[in-house]
Amino acid sequence: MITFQFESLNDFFNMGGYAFFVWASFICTFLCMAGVLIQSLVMGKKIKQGVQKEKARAERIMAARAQRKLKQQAKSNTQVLNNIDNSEVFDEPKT
Amino acid sequence: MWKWINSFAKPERAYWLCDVLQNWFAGVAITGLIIGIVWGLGYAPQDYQQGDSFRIIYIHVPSAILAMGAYVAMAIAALVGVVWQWRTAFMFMIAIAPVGAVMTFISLFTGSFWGKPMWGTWWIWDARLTSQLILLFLYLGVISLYTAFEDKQQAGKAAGVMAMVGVINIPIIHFSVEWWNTLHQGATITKIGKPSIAPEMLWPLLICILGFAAFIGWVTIIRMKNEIIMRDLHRPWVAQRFGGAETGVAEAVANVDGQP
Amino acid sequence: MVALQSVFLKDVALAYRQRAELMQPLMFFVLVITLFPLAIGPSPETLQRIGGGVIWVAAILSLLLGMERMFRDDFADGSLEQYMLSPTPLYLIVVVKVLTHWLMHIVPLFLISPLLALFLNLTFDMYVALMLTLLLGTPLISFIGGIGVALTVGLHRGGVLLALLLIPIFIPLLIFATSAIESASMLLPYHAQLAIIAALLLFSVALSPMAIAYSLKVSQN
Repeated sequence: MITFQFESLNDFFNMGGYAFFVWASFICTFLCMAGVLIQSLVMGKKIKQGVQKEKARAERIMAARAQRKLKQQAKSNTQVLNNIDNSEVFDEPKT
Repeated sequence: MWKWINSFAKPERAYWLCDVLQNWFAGVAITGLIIGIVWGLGYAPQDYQQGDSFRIIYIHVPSAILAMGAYVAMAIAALVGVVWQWRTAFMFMIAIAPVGAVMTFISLFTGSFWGKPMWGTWWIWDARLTSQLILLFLYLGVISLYTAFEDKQQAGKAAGVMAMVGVINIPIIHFSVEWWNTLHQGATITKIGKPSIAPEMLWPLLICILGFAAFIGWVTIIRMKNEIIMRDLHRPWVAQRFGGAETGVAEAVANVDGQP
Repeated sequence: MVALQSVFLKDVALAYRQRAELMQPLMFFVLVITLFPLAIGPSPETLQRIGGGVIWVAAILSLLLGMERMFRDDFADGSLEQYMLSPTPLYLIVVVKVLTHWLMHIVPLFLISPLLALFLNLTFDMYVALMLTLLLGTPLISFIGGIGVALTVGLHRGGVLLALLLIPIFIPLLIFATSAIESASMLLPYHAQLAIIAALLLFSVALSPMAIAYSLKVSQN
């Protein structure tokens, strides 16, 4: 019941003389649809990359902050120790 | 049931639904379009009047119908958003608008490419062409109003009002343009739409319409997912799902606290 | 009622004090119409044929220019917020404001239109039809335009956007109005067109104040 309507492939591409109109409109339609699809996909990818980047940035910030905190802790520890040493030294009567 | 529907007002539920539906829509769209277009281009019988140029119908009619359909869907989403304050409804609205505009554009230039061999001119002020052109302007109006606002919450509501005004106007515009057209042009145009279409021609057309509809749904879903993530960028669920900023912070804080 | 009256009086007083700004759209209207004979040629038949359409297009464009004034100042100085807080429904205040705006913009248009009809060589029947369609059509423009103004009032540069949003919506009105004038030029009855414009007007009077009030709330955020 369903048969190929054209004698040859050449005939098919010729579209009974309307090749330009038929193929131009099909190709333009295809390009438009592909365009909107690809644009949407690319946008999605970019957004997800943005999320990742934000995450990396936040992690960097937090890591830096943690390191600073550790350093400060270490510093203050040593200071406390020094203080203790000093105080011990200070406290010792030198008479 | 109502509660179940209402749960999709939450972005994460809507995102989940999008994920579930996306591949189905993609599958139906790709198979439908391939089958419909190959059938229409190669296997549907020739039109006895228009020869092979009528094969443009297999993209022209689906895009024209669904351009209108997408606008109505957009307006319904706007109504839902305004009445029930669903954020996701506005996201759907703005996700489908560009797709609908592209469909309108496709229907316009395929109409033009069909009109050239049939009517001998690229453009005539035919009632349907004219109202389709106005539909394109309405789409662009909604999109440009949405982009004009900085605050996207506000933008959604404003564009929603515009979409609803437009959808009330579409029948009026259509009626007025048709009336104007008959007034000016008379019967000079040979109508292309035949009263009855042979079933061998109709089947591929229906499949094409299905394919186009699924395509619109597919792209809309993709865009809607983008929109959801973009708008909810700093909410915990996005962070959990895509490892966003919040989890990063949470983990880092945990690390710091875990340190001696 | 007192509140509505005071809104009306305030708007009239403001419009009176800003006469110069009120005149600008009118000047634009006249200038656009002057351009057409220069561009198309002065032959009376051509001008008569296109006259109704030209006046309507110019009227829509000039009304669009003046449209922004409807809520702009109230938005800028905060009176809009007061209207929203007041016990009088915003719906009614909006109706009064739109009608005042229409009154202030359309009366000059009416006064100047006989001159333009003369410019464009309209017959008396066409002139009557033009007046009737303007009388019914311009409030429609104000009411629907009010939606657009309310939506764009919060934007910094909403002027062009306003025109983009509204012009497609005015197309049916333009079609019916110009076809009424055309019928009048052929001495045919044009009740049908007038009736359709009146129906559109009533429909918009009923629905658009709601949309305007909602849009104002959105813009005010």
